[in-house]
Amino acid sequence: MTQHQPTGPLVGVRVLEIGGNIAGPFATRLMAQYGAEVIKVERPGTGDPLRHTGPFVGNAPHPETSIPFLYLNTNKQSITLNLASARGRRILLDLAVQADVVVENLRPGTLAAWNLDWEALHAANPRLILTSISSFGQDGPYRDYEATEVVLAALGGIMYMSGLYDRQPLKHGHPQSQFIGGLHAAGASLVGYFQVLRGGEGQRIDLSLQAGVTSELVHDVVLYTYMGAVHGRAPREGGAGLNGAGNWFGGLVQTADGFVAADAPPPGRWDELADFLGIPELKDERFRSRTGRITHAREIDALVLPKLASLGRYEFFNHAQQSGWSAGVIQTMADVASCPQLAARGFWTEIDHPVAGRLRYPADFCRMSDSPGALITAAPLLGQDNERILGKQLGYSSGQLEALASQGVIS
Amino acid sequence: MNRPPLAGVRIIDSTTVLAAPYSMALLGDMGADVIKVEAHTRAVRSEGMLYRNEVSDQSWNDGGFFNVPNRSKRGITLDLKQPEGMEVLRKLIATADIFVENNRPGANARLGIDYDSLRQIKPDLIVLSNSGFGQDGPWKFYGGIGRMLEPTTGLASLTGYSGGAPQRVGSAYVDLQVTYAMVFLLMSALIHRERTGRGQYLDLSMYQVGVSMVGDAVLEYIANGDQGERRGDRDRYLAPQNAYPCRGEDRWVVLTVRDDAEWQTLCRLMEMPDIAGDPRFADGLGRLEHQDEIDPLIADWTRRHSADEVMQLLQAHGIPAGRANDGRDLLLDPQLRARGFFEPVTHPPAVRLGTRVYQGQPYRFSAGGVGIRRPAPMLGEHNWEVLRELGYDDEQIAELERKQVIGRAPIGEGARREGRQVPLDVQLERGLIRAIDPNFEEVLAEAYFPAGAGPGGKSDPKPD
Repeated sequence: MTQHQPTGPLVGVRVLEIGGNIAGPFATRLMAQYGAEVIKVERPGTGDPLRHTGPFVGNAPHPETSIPFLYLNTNKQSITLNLASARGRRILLDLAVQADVVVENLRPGTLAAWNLDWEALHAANPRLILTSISSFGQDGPYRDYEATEVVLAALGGIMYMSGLYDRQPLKHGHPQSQFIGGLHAAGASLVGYFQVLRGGEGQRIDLSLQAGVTSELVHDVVLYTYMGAVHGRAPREGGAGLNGAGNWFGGLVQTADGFVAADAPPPGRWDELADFLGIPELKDERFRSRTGRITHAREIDALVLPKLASLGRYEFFNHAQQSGWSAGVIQTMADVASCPQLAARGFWTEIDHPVAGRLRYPADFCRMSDSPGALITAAPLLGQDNERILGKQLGYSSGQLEALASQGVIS
Repeated sequence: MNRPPLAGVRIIDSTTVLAAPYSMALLGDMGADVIKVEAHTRAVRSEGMLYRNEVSDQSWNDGGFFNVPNRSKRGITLDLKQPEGMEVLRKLIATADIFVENNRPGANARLGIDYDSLRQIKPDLIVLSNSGFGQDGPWKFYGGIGRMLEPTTGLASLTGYSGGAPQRVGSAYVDLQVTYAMVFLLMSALIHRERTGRGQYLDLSMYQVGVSMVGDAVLEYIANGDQGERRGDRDRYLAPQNAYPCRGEDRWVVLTVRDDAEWQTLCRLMEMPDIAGDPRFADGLGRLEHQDEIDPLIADWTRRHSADEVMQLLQAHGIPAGRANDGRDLLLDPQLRARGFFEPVTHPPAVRLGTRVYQGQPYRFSAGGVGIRRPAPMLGEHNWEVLRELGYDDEQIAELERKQVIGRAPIGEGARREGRQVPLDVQLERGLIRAIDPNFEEVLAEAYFPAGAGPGGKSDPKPD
């Protein structure tokens, strides 16, 4: 296995990840991308539950080829440790002494049941940051509620106001509450660590995924607190564009080869759209204001949609963007994978994995002039770093490691 | 309150709209001294979401779409086209740790305030540029509007009703992804500077953040050629899962059955023994195949109960379920309230907002010191305070005011008002809003302001 040679602003920051699945690993993946040394602490035998979640490379289930696992665990190391055993607990505390940040997303109360709660970790390392991610937080009436992605989207509030007027509320087709939670956990962990660097004490950060979702709803909450209005799903029939901001258009509309997200040109420039589409009837006084466009959305739809249906989606997107109108194009995953902008930005990195093979991974989203991050190693095999970390780093002899293995502590 | 984690960090925030401003507000909540620099000469304040949807004589100070993502900051105005304005900015930069901008790529170089110019003033400065697609590449001048990026990143292609068109979820979703990513990136750069003494330039691409948020789906295409499909509220592997109608107007509950035992429990709670024994539904694959038959049966049951009843009953039996909270439900949600997620903030008497409730931070720090520190600044509210700190005397500041280098009301292009407020009855008719609650002030007061105390809340800025 290639030795990890991290680069980035977080080189030297030592992170332990406990739990698995998405939110915790996405947080630590970001830290690892930017240089932190991340050790995944996995359950002996089965490992991170995400290892058993599809889809798999080649659609052949195998604990080393889960695609979400491969994506979320680049640049990390893996050890296996039975935290429910006394020896496993002791080893974790030894690792915590050497760590700066622990990110965990176990069910609330799990660490405490293993005598590894905040008090124990803090006693072992007063400078440690413990970031706990959970569905609803470490306290409150929903603390022990069961959650899946759809439950977080519903209770977090993003779902009610999304989708079509006369259909049911709609969630994202991807576990975004977990990814958003990962972003929050990564940022908050570093805030805590920064304070430690400046002489502060370690502390515990308690992140609620539900609140992470609600935190996104800038428009929706303020609609109520400022006006008493409840954000709806939009639109009623007609007004294809009324999806979202209510500024015809702005919704996702059909072109000859897919969909675009189109918006009215900037204020005072409405006629440019009529000229580009060759629809003089659009230059109607009634359509020039936002209120007018919303009121007459059906009429605008009747004029515009047939014409858009004859254009190519990138033809519209590129023209609109080059004209300074806001616009989007619905890209499929194939489009994203071949996008010229992403290629020009050096977004991708190809890396080898001993089981999954060589793949092109999405990597960087921010260039840093003095400390660029880099994707260097593929996701770790289960327990691949046991010997190095427990042996070299913590000083266990090979005989002791064998004993730990036979006792089920590490395998 | 304890010492905030970012006490002593100063950020100059020259950004507009949502993604970057909101990120700076979160850093302000955690104690950074964030100074927002605005142009009173340009129409840069987002004026959406006005109080009671009414235009006032100073609407630039009572728009919720500005006030949410700009709390916990001080604010000054500067006309950077006048040399005195640029001089103030340079003096400010010399005191700063971080400068954040979201102009079009290249614009700040023309103004002489790009990274290479600013590091001459402050060698260890961290500069972050936020743009839709990054500072180079064929799409570098394309605009980065959050709700337009959601389709472009690929996320919308995975989202939508089964068999239907792609859809967006949320209002400006990618903006928020970037908000949170930016907290992480700036903290990384601050940590790097703390240990090496070196600042640097961060070139953030909103588009790349958005694609990273669906990175596993992109990798699936690269590995397997699979593009994913739209499933509405259903799951790829677990069934049944969906949103189901409940008693009341537009009320919904969601639930997921994760295994056979949960399925048996659900059937028992629904009092449907026939289904429990139906071999087609006995295992996960069968339920996945037959969800079109299962869903109406569950809906028949949920329609007879409130969303809250269904949620509490299923949760009491260990089955994941949740009410689809609308905007009002969120403010009254027992969990969010128990966590203190919404924070009352009192605006200065000069604006008509009084005390409002705002969403806080989704995380809590055990050492405390984190919370909304002050309401969003009125336009130019801290001109005098900040300029005095920079060493300007009162006469010089008054002169800057006379020359309109600084100001407290919009002038020129900034004073042009477009009639952008769509009347609430039009929004209601079109379905953009679902309901209007005329008693909303009382509802909020009852939930957030103790009886008799009136809307008091946190009237004083928290100590820095």
